[in-house]
Amino acid sequence: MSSVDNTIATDAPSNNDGQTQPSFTEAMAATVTSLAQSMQALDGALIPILHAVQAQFRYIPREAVPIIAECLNLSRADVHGVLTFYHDFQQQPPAATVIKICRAEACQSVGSEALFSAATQHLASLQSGSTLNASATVAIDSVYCLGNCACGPAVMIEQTLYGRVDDQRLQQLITQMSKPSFIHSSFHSFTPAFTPASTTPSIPPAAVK
Amino acid sequence: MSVSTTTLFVPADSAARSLGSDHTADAIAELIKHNKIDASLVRNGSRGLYWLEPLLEVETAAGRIAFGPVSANDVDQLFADNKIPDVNHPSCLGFTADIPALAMQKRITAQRIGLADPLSLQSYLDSGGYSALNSAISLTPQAIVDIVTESGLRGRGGAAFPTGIKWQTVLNTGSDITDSAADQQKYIVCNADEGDSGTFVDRMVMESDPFTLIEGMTIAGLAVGASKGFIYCRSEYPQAIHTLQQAIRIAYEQNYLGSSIGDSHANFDLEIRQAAGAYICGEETALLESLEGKRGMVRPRPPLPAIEGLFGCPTVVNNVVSLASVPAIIADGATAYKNCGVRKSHGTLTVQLSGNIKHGGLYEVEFGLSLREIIEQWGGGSISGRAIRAVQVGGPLGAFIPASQFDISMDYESFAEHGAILGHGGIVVFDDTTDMGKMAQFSMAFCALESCGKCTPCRIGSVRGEETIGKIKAGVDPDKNRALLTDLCHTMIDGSLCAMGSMTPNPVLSVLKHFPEDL
Repeated sequence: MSSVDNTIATDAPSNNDGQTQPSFTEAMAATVTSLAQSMQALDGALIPILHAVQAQFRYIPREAVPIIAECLNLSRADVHGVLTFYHDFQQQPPAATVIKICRAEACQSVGSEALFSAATQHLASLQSGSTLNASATVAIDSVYCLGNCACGPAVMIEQTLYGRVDDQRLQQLITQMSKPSFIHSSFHSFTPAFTPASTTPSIPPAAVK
Repeated sequence: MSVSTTTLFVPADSAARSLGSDHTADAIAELIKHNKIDASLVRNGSRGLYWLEPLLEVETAAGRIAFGPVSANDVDQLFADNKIPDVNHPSCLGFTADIPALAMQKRITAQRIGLADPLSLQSYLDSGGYSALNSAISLTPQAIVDIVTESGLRGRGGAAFPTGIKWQTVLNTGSDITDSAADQQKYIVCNADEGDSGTFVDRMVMESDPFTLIEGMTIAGLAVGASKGFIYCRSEYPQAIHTLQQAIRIAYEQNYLGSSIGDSHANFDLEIRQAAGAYICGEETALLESLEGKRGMVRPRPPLPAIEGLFGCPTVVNNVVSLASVPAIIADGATAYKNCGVRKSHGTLTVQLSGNIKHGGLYEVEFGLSLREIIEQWGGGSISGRAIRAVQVGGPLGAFIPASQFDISMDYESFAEHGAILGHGGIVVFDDTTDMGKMAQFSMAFCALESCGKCTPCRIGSVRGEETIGKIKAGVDPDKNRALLTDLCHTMIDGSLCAMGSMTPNPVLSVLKHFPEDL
């Protein structure tokens, strides 16, 4: 929703935790309210709503918590508890591109720990250079299993999976994605291998009773 | 399209795509677009022979022939002079079905994986799909449960609990307190939170053969009287979620889901839910909490989920492979399935071979093959070319098995006798450069990271375990700390609420026992 994205302020104010979040606009509040209301009839609606909010903003703004709580007749503590339990939910805006390196056993057996260290160092060296704006655009994260265990080490960048990744390949990817002009092809949404005849959303027509 | 148009297949499974199959497909599509070859391109699922991906298959009158791995750069040479490569081409692997690693398998659950476009309902029907549901609709719920019980199917998620007994409990629950069992809301929940390293068959089923899972869940619903199902799929599998969403939509459109399925009395609604990155939610009670919109905290048992499960209602919680095995069992009969395998391990195991191994992938075999056969004969040894030191079977909670024990038979009973678990059949291979002490420490660290925190042995034991292994490795009172670690492991085994805390000691104790030089 471009109308919402445009309203995110670039100079984020500090809140009392010392963490910074972009300012929460009325348009964002309206979006959260509308998402929560459209999904509140689902069984166990909280997690689907949190996913939907994060899909919209890439993180869950703290101001979204009371809105969601009110909509589902839960306490803010209930929503906060769920939000902080799951690794997926971000409380701060993440980097534009997050590179997730699998560090579970199968990938460890083919050298993912060394790959992780080398990638972290490479990113740090880019960040210390002046030509690239890597710190704002790229982050490296750990993940434990991407289901690509027979083709490790595995890496996922946004929603694109890479197999048998070596140092050289990963450094290429990091450098490419650290360029300010880079926009990842799968940014924000999953790109299917090919588009089926119809791409209507997944809510099954007969599921609503 | 002329009659001579040849069908070509390039997988769109996410692992094949991770090795460049999209680029291969694009290069072939270019040739087709510019009328250089008379062919049509199908994006099928993967056969699971991952060392051959991207695998190109060419349909011939005598069957499909295979080429692989085929990168985008290989396409021009393979299609030299705009000729579709045939069986005489020097790089042809022969008929796909005759590739030894595929020919040795007994594919029952995975019989359709990799054959067709996963979202082609017509292909699914043409290969016998939905014949099991048609049979099930004419059977009583008890008759369906009886077939599953007789087949000997046990939960393929790892715990190996007899599926038929679980279904029977759900079928029975509620029927004694209400006039009609139909009054009681019941659920089918598919556990697709495949978080264990070294496992990917659930992903393959969802990405490559989603209708089999949907059909299996629908049959389960008929069997126990559940009108609603959920698939709880991990968020690390975006393509599986996407494919299932499309497949569910198609099934609704074609009256294979919803009310009056196929104009019968059967009703079944199905939703997919995206998990949120918590490993513990693969544990069935934590999964149910998560589906209810809560923190994924483990519930004490009893009550069993079969009696009080999702939203307090009787619930079947089964793994993807268990549910996807049901259509074949109903279609071919309980006896055919039961006659496969050895001892009390009936049917087939979808072995997933991964890690430091040349020929990693999916091997669906009857129970009873030795670990050595899979690793050495079919796996072809380590990819690093070094000696194999150990394998971990059954995921992060499974024991490390040393090379000296590779003759162990792959069935639930033999593994239990060796103090190991077969689990879901995921095998991760490690070569002789592996520091086994570090692997033991990782097991504890992973438990500390992913513990739900409800019970003390898991929440605190894992942290102390990681620290204690660190001390042993640093040479601080090693004997005393080894005794402490062993004691801690037994406390976790005896005192934890769920399998995560009680089984994390498995890999640790196996390292202490088999690799004392490292810990």
